[in-house]
Amino acid sequence: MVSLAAKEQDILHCILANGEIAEEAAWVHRRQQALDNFLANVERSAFRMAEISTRNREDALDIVQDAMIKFVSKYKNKPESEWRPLFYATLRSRITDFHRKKTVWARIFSWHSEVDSHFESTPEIASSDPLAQLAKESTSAKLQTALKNLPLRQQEAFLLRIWQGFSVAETSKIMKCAEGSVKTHLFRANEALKLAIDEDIKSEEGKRDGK
Amino acid sequence: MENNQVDDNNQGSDEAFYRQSRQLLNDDIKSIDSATLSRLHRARNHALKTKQTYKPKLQWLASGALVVSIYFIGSIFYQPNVELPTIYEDPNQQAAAENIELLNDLEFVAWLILEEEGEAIESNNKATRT
Repeated sequence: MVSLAAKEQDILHCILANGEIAEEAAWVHRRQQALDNFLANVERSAFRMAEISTRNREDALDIVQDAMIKFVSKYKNKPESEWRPLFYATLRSRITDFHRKKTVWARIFSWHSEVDSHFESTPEIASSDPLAQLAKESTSAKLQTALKNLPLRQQEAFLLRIWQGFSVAETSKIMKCAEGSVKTHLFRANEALKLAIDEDIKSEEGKRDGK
Repeated sequence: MENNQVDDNNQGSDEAFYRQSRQLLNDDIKSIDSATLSRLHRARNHALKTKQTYKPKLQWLASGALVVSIYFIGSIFYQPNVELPTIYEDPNQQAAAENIELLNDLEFVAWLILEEEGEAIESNNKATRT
């Protein structure tokens, strides 16, 4: 009787253990699905952010892939509510590393290529005649051209705060700077972009209101 | 009052600008080409297959342990050469060096002298008896 009860207990433990394993497997599957959905939602904007910064499609794709791999490796077990700022922080870190390496290589081989001062502080608009260039493009293309001409930190502040809708506090954590710096970068970005495309935007708004 | 109105106008203008910019960027990403979307899809699948959890502290710990192990093993097998005392080529210098060493051990020197004197006296006594 005792041995039968012991066997029954063993069977019960096995069932419970299998149940726990099954539950854990289900949780892992749900987590994987949630990660897949999350990355599918952010991949396009991540690509565009990287492409605006690097001005190169292939580099942007590499950066996005690296960011996704690093994000999944490091943060997949974090709460889902934290994924978005963590992902964009990882993406920003990859973009910064890209520019850092590019600057180092450019300094080493400065006789071969021009030094890219995009990573360092630059004048508000680097292009020699941006207005003539922008006149030929649509407003959306103009906005992207203007964004590409911004210094890196101003780009980050605008895209994270205005496009992605992060708060000033979240943006400062992602950019690893003070909240005051975020506001300064955003102010300068705003001034430069409005100079480039404000008239187009106003005329488009006017057309829309007229309809 | 007028300054407040100007500020409000500016803020309103900024908000409109931000709204429009956001809209333009959101519309833009909807028109990303299919080749790029395919690459992004593959990147996403590749990332999701990543199994290893990033543990930098353990990696650093393992690297540090390896370095320390190599150091200890190396220190066991590596025996640095002990410098031998210099040997003078000139015998006079060698003798002088030996004399200096002897002078450092005066007790031994005194005993040597006494032994030599004792031996000399004994030999004299023997010669006298014969």
